[in-house]
Amino acid sequence: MAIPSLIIGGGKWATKKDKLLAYKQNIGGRYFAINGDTSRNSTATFTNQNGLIESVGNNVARVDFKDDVKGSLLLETQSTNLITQSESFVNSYWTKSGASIQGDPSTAGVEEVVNGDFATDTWWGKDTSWTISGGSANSNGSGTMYKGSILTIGKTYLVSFDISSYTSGSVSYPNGGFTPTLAVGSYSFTYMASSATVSFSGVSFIGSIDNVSVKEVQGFASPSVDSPTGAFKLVEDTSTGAHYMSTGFYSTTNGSDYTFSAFVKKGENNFIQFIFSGATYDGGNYANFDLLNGALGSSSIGVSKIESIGDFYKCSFTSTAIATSSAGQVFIWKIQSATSSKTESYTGDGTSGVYMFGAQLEVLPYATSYIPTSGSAVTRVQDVANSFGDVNTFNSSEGVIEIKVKGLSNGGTSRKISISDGTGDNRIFISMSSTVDYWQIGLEGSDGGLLNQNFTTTTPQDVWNTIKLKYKNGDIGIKINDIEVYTNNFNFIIQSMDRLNFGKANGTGNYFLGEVQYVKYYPNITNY
Amino acid sequence: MNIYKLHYTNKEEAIIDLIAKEVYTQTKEDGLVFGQGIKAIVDIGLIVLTEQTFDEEGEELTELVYADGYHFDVMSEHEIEFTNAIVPNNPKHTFA
Repeated sequence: MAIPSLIIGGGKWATKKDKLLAYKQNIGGRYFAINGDTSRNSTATFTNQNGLIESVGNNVARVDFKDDVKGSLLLETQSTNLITQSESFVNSYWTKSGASIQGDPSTAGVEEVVNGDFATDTWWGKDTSWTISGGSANSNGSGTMYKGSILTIGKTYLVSFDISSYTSGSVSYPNGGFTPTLAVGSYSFTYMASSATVSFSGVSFIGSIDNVSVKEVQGFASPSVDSPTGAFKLVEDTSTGAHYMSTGFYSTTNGSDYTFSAFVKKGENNFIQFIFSGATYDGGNYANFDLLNGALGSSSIGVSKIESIGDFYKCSFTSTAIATSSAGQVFIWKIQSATSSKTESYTGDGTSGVYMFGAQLEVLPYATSYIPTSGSAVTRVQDVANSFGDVNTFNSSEGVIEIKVKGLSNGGTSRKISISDGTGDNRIFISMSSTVDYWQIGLEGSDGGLLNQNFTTTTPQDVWNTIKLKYKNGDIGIKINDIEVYTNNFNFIIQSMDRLNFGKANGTGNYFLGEVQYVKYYPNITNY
Repeated sequence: MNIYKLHYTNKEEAIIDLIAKEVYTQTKEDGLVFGQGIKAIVDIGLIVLTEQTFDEEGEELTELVYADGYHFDVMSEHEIEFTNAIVPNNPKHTFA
């Protein structure tokens, strides 16, 4: 059994800024470090060994499930999260209809309102239409009762109050976008403060309010190390009709693929539906997700996926825009079964919901790792990993490259792993082709000889595959999952190979996009 | 790392300028690719200043208003001389 002269991964990963540690072992079992260069000029997130989302700094390689046998290097393309409030579902960026966003009431902090029971006529400022007497705040027309400088802008608050008497008109909480209220009863809602003022605004309101409470509130446990209480609950109201929230508008380009993803966990409800708006997506494409069984439900045109992340599911749905428009929108719709029709209506119970975290919309045919946002679209930059090994690592006249990889997509762009001297004249590469189910092998020698062959298989690129490439003069072969799928008796002269790149020989372009469980390089063909 | 927020009249003008400044390089094999030292190019496009909103009957409440021009963000490891770089007070896009 030959010993690899280069191993990347294989259950043993170590990263630091700008470097990913590879290694080789000698016959005695001793390890020798071989560094590769990594770069990515932005932060990014990955899935840590506990199955939670965690962020890393610029130029640090990401290894999903590091320190686990299923650990894999994650290499992704540049992508932008177009959702400008990816976690703050209480923000007005998200429109709610027949539903509200709730935080975890058990985390409610100190009471911010000093005189919420209106025992005395103090603390509140009032327009002339408001009076405080008889243990309530009373309105006889249009005007505002307010208290400024008590909230922190950007924090999330739980507001509750009673309408203790009602004759006519309406009262609202304008800073929270709370719907005007028209009846005696108790009301509560959660919102993110965009103003430090607490205020109630009457429109021809003849009536009284009482028991006002405003407390800072946290979200529920999320699948993120960086936002551990960043999940919020989408709760249906008691109306008969639709119960959903929707994104702000975004621009679409005709023919482009858009993928929406979010981390969702069952609450009292077990199902959720994602819809791309009808204005730009062929009448509105939709996909249902079963959060009890972690399964896909009914869907229309598009590709949906569901993947377990901690006790959440990462649900994603890809659809192609059929118009260039400014009216792109995604709806997160509460539904009652995995086979519910699009935009289902039903009577809510006022308490049931699902937990949401980390919404993301990308102009890509698949979802990539989570990119947090809070106020603007955010771009994660391309991962690059190059220059593993040296001239002593590689044998230019024969060898075997063995990789276990999973592409981010089946087809799309040409995505290479190459060994070379840094030029296109002495190189060997394996590539996931831009065509679905096609793979590519390439050898280019200093003698001018060139083998560049696409070949089809029944093996999709976006599942785990083990691939072995054997090269020797007159003896070229490829095995995918131990089945030989390609041979050639090509003759070549290749010299001075000194690096393995996850991309082209010159280190730029055709970057490998996917997960890499291991790369092993053997300097002879006995291990094919 | 240098980050440029660029304002153009339209997308066509942007692509021509980005090729001229070697932010994009045109190749036979792959079409437009990043130029040497370019780490990211983000097609921001049109920027919405006021979103279009509707009432329950579908009547328009506020008209859609775009900022003037077409926008790109570029991240480069070397300095590039742009005459159309802007510094927005409230950027609609950032890098992670």
